[in-house]
Amino acid sequence: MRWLTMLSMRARAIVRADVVDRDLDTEMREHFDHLVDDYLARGMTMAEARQAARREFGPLTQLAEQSRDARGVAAIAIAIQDCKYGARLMRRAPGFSIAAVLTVALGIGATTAMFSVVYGVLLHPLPYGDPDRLVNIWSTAPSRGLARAYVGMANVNDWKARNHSFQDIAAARPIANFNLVGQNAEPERLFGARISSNLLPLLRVSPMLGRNFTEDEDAIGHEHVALLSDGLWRRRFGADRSIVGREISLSGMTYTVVGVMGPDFAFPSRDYQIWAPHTFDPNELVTRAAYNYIAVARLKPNVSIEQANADLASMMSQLEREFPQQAGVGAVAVPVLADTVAAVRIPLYILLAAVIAMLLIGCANLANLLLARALARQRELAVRAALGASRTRLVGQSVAELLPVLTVGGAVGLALAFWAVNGVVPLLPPDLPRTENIALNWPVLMFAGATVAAITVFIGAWPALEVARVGFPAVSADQSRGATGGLRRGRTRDVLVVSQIAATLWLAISATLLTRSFAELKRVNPGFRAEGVYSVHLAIPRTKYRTDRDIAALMRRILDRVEALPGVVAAGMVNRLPLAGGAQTAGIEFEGIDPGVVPAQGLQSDLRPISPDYFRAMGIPLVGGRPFNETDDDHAPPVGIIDDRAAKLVFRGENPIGRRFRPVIPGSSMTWRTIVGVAGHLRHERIDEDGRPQIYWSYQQNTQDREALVVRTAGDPAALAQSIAAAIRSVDPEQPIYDARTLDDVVERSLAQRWLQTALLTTFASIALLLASIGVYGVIAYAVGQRRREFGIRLALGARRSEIVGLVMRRGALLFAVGAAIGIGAAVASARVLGGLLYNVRGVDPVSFGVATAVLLAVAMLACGLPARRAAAVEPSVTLRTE
Amino acid sequence: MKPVDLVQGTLDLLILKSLVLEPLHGWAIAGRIRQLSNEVLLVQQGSLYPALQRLEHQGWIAAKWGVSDQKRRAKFYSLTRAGRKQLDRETASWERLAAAVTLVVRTT
Repeated sequence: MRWLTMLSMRARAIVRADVVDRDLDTEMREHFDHLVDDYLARGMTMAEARQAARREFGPLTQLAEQSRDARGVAAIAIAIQDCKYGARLMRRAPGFSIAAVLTVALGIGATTAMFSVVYGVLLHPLPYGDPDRLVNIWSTAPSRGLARAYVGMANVNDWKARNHSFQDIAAARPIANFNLVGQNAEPERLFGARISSNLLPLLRVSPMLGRNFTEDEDAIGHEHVALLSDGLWRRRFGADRSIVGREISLSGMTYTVVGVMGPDFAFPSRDYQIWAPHTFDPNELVTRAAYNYIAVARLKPNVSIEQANADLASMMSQLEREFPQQAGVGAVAVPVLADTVAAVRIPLYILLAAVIAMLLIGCANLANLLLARALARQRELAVRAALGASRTRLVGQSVAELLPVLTVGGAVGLALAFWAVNGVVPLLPPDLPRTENIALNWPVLMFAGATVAAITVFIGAWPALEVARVGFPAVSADQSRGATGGLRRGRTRDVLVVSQIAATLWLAISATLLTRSFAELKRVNPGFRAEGVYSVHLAIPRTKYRTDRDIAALMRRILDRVEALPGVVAAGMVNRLPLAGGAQTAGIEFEGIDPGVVPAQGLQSDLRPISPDYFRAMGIPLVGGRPFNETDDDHAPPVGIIDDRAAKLVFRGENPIGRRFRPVIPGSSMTWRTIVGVAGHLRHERIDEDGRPQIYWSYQQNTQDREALVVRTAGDPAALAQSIAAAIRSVDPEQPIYDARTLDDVVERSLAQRWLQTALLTTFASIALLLASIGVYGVIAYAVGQRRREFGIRLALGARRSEIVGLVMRRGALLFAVGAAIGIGAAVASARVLGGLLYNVRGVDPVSFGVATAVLLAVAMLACGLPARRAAAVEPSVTLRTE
Repeated sequence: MKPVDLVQGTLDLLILKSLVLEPLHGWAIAGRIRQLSNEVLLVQQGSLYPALQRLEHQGWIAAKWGVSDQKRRAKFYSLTRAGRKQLDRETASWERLAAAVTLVVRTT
């Protein structure tokens, strides 16, 4: 019962402090008046009586304050006092303070920066209304080797008519080549998208300036209106508000600007800068063959994603029965945010885990140092406990004393994070989604605050509790003259060091795995020789070059000019450059080949119209037959080249030259083309995935308007950049070029995310290794210091110095063994998650595990070796006398 | 004989003791202590209040507003059951201390 009274009293003293104060004031005043009455009764005047009473009673305000203290809520004042003491301690031990501030600053800086990336990319809500209800819908065609594909307009319309799950479905088509010409600037190629007029209402956004597209503008013939991105509007049109209603020249056509989107709008990603109405060939509704569109839908209220997917599945199986050409095509809805970041979720969380592990390893060092300091102050604490300081008071003091260090460390850490976020974000790989959201915003700052609070408790409370646990009576009796230093006292420090070793080993193993995987990737032969090659992209406007023949002629003229440049070995063109993030695929059927070998939908292949010298420019070997030549034009018999992968899969050792193939287009039959050559296979999509075979066309027999020009040079390819651009402009000064890079750079960029993951994790692991070695050294050195007397006795009794070294090393080895066992266990447990990021290396790779463990063992033994030598150097006579 | 200032830490004991018979208000407690000690122990009137607050917060005494003999509003303090036990404990330890001090004073 008493504790209940105390609790309610204290609560009242805190919550109703004013009432309690007033109560006390009344009470004391009444008492004071009593005294005055008393003195008046003794015959004093009023003034004399009051003065006497005041003398007897004492100063009222000071008393009120003392009474407030007595209520036991002066904790805040005490905390401030402790903080001041902490600041004094900080100045008195600058070495420790600098180490502590640096550890906290680095830890907070790294964790906050990493969390700001995690938050911005993975967690920050999409800039749409009620974004959690938005889904992307994809086609699936596992039987054709396509896990995910764009959707067809026939299906979009079917879903709109039949579904029970979606409020609305909008369609869009990414257009990689809007050519923006004029405005006294260089011609520029823009990423844009054609979007249906219901997309913006569905996303619940509206233009910042002007209006959305109308439904009428979704029709062919009315689609020459455009919305600009905020960035494009500012960069190209000087943020001129009168832009709405003005005409711009886009891909050779005149478009009227109807509006400007807000700065947040990034659909489908931040690369897109211009939008036009979505139109499509009505014939697609009949053929059901064009899968070219993105579909975005909003779930009806109370419909779950599972229900929506069940709905889609039942609609697709119904459609499959109605339309045979849809055989094997399914559909899947995925929440937009999850879909956008699916590929980077696990790597980012692994990096966050790594950086937190690093922070904890650093904090363990701090906790260890503080523990040593607390043990040194044990007498002081014991005396204070004996004088009535409670355990909470001691813990509170220990925590408060740390606040100055943590405040300075936290502030420096935030500054570091700010610097990192601003300095590093522009350097992030361009294929990392949503980097525009990375910032030090409130959620990130709250995370940083919570981290500081957690650190405070972790490193502050621990030493105080440990001192309290060891017990004070023991201290006054035993002036740490104990011969062996006491086993129990070291336990906490051992736990800290064991955790450090475990966390470091986990990090080191993960970093080694990623490094090995990256080395494997660098060894992969992509099927072409990238060094010495320069690449430029061209988007040729069909409005200017109306026929395929015009386009092919333009390509030839450009190739001629480029080939004539000094230093150029060969130049070629292709519709999609390998590893540059674009694909064009088709199902290919082969004449006279058993359907058991190639399925009815054809062999899914990369479709590549190329100019004759493309193979030479790329360094792709021709393993049989002949390359294309200029006579393989639209008058000549249709010809093709397949790669050795397709040759092996389809012809199984037979000679493919002279055999025929064609793409499978349901509902129509293409002409057969004769195979004239076999080229080496290459990795088109990703270097870590041995994907589809390639099928090549002559550029004059299948002419496309989006081209990559590749130029093999004799010297440094980048040196030719200017003259290549000039050569193209000399053919057509309005022709924009984009994505001009060396092929080495293209390959490197395709590995940029992996490189970054590997580099970051290796950095974290290295720092962790350094911190852990300091931790091991600290603990062993401390233990040696404690046992000097014991070693002296042992030596005096005839122990050899090597035995003393062995004694110390054994302790280090034991700590290492326990920590390593836990670390290896953690690495095995996380292997499945990490395994998904590895190429040609298993998650439980014995080499990586072995190397990382050996490195850590070497470092740990080195860290033990120094104190061990010091232990062996103990002079028995000196030690025994000094104590 | 001049009145003696209270020994640090004994004020609590004295307050508890003064409340054994009946509830008293602050003014009366000070008077009672002086009276019980034959005018030897002088409680600084004001320092009474922090002590009262402390004891109340420890749950050893309870307070209630009432009217004094002089018809003034006053807070009356009474001993709780926990307070009585505490008084016993403090009395015992005081007696030990007093005996020890006496011993020391006599032997030197």
